[in-house]
Amino acid sequence: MTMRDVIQAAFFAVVVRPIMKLIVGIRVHGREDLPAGQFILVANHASHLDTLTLLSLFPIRDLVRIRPVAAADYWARNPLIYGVARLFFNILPIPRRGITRGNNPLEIMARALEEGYSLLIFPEGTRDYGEELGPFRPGVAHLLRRFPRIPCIPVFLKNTGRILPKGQFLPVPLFVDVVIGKPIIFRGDAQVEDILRLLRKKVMELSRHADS
Amino acid sequence: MDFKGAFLNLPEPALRLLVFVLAFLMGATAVVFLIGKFIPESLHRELVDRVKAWWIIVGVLTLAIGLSRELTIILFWFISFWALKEYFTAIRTRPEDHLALFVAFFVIPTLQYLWIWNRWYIMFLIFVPVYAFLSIPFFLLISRNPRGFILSSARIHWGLMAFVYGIGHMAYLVNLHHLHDPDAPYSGITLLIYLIFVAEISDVFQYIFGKLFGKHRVWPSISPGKTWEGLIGGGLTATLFGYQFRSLTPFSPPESIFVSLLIVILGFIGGGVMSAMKRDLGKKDFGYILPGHGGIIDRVDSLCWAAPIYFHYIAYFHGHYLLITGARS
Repeated sequence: MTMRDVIQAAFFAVVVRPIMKLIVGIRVHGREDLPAGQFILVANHASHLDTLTLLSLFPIRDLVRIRPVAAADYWARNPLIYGVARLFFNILPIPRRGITRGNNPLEIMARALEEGYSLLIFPEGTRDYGEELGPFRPGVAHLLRRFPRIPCIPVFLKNTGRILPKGQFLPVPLFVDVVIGKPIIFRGDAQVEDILRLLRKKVMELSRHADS
Repeated sequence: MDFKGAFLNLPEPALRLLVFVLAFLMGATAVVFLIGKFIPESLHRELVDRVKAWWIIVGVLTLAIGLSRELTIILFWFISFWALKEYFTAIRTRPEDHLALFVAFFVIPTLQYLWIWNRWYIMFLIFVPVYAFLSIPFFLLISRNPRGFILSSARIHWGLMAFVYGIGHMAYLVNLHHLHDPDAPYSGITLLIYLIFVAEISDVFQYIFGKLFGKHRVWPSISPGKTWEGLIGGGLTATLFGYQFRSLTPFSPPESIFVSLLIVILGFIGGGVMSAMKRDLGKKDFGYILPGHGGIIDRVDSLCWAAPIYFHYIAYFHGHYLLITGARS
């Protein structure tokens, strides 16, 4: 355990968990489908609250092996923001534009998986679509093809975009519904488009479950 | 039996009632445990969940009310907050409502409970119906989108009236004291306990009578669970208990029957209103803070309606010897 791990654990135990329990109130459906080992978690994205919500699903001692994939142009735009995001959430910054051979986001994520980390990925790549589900960007499919042994967990997050939408800084503490789907194993020879289509369809299905 | 000062600073009639409730709960627990073999599995699980939830409710209420006035007010503030969470999560809101919702969640309930804490009676009475009513549309104006403006104003203010104003009346009860007789066996605290006791006994026995004998539905299109058999059986049981435990109140014997019936009928209407709302939203219940009980709203719906009328009945007919206004008026 490094100093960073200890600080993150303390931050979650003292700040994040109590806020999530007493003010936000997360309702989880299908928690038993969270795998014990390494995973790639795929969720819709509407709010900064999404990462907090997903991280608080796991026991605090497991946080050291989970890295939320984050846009470098936003979360690493200056050293202070990057330092805080790295310290408390252990983000894995990847570039969204200006991609070259040297900073290929796929390689960055693949390296983290090889080091044994689990990843949280928002394939919409932005919070712009709000409560709607936007198109998925293909990186996640390439990654899943390359690591066919790592299960993919589809997750739908409901209401985070109503609680803390993009551009707002005051939260409206509605309940968050987290719907966790069954882990999916993709084959190494599956088509990228098929993987994307299936993943998006799964997340859509989970969103209907949240309404009932 | 003399319980005075035995534990918690509750007056003696309240302690007697507590002993009765605890005995009743133990009996209910034993019965549910024993009949487990003879009833369907799903019904048994529901009953176990309900009894468990009642232990939690009774425990939390007893500790808060028994320990201090301030703790009771904080508890009701939290109940208002949680009910608002369930309500605003369930209804449709616009992105433009964000600021008004923030104010409705954090500013208005906090101020309302601050007036209650400070015994500022007039402000407690007018704050939500006047100031919240006027300020919510103002915060909606800031978004500059007139589409859905009336609906948003109405939805937000409706939630504040039911869950902040209505529930707040229960909290304000703890401020009441006898003006001339500090040793009176009743006070605001016992009046609050009496209200919750009669309303909840009515709910519980409506459920039991409904399950055992329920045939004729009162509002078939709104609530499948509310039957005439349940209402009459539960209402009469609650009235009987209300009469029995009238020493928690200044009510004369016939008056205690009248007030208990009032609580029963208003509670029944409150339950019906929330059922209609759930039907409108297409939901079965509002959340699941307590197993077997749905959300907080499903538990306090009857009290939201009964509390204000009960409070103002007391203020009007018994207010001349009960301290209501406090230091400021």
